[in-house]
Amino acid sequence: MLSTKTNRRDTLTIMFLAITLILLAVTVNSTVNYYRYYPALTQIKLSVTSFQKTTYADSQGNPALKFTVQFRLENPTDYNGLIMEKFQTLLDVIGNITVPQGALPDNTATGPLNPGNIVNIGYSAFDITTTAAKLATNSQTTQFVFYPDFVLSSFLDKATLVIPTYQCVTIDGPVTCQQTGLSLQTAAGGFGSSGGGGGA
Amino acid sequence: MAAAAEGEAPRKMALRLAWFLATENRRSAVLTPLWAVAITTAYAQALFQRAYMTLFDYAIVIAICLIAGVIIMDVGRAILSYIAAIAIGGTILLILVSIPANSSTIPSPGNIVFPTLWITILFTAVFPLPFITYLVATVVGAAIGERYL
Repeated sequence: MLSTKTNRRDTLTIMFLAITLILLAVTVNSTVNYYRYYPALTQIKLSVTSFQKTTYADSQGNPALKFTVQFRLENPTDYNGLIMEKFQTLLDVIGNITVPQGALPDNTATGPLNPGNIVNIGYSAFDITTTAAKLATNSQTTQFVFYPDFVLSSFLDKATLVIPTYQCVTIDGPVTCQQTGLSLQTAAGGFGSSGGGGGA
Repeated sequence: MAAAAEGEAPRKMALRLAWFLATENRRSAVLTPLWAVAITTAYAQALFQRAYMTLFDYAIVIAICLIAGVIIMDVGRAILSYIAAIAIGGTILLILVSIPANSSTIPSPGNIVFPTLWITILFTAVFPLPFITYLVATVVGAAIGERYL
């Protein structure tokens, strides 16, 4: 009787060991992916792939300028599980003075940022203010500085929204943007913890 | 000769296992870390995919505690082992989530904000109801073990 009891316990212990090993095997994949998460946040690559200006005179004969710009987002890391959402950008036109243009119209582009994925975000025919247009037409070195940010949707969405911010400085062509920070916003109905941002 | 050698290996393994499980203290010494690892992995697979536990995830941990309780077969020892396992498991999990969120990968203050956020996530995933439920499952398991095993 005692022997049967012991054997049952031993069998159960071995079963317990087996369950633990199975759980361990199941967890390895998600743990490895998690360890790639933080490097991915800081390495998401944003670039301006196309920037074209068109100058013309408006109905009153003032110089006017409209431009089209195309951003490209890619994930150079091996992390799986990021989705780009809510892309928005501010614009400053900088010559001898800085002329803020405010936010560009909302862009509804969204898409997964798994390894190898590319998300293109395009703005077409955006008119800048007359002051900025004068500045741009008078000098060939006028800088167009974009300040894009977007939500990087991930497994942490229930706890926090991760929002990387960038700066893209272009005069008249493609450019790679620099990440300037990473802010965390408490998600609605989340865990009640809020976070600050960090400059990259 | 070869067949005899083949039969020798499982026998040696069984003897080794029998030695590890020969006394209650040894069994607890084996079972508690195993229990801690099982809890850690159950939590890790859930939290690293969605940052919260589903009912199914909680059910897995409850089942783990129930089985561990049955194996221990002693309510007092089971409670002590459970507390040790949950403490070890929680510590491992906290280390596991915090290591990658360090200053070399995330610029300040993100390297502080993320671990703080994880402490909140872990705390809400363990306390208070799950902790009590796991304890009850452990005690019920031990009672089942005492009665039926």
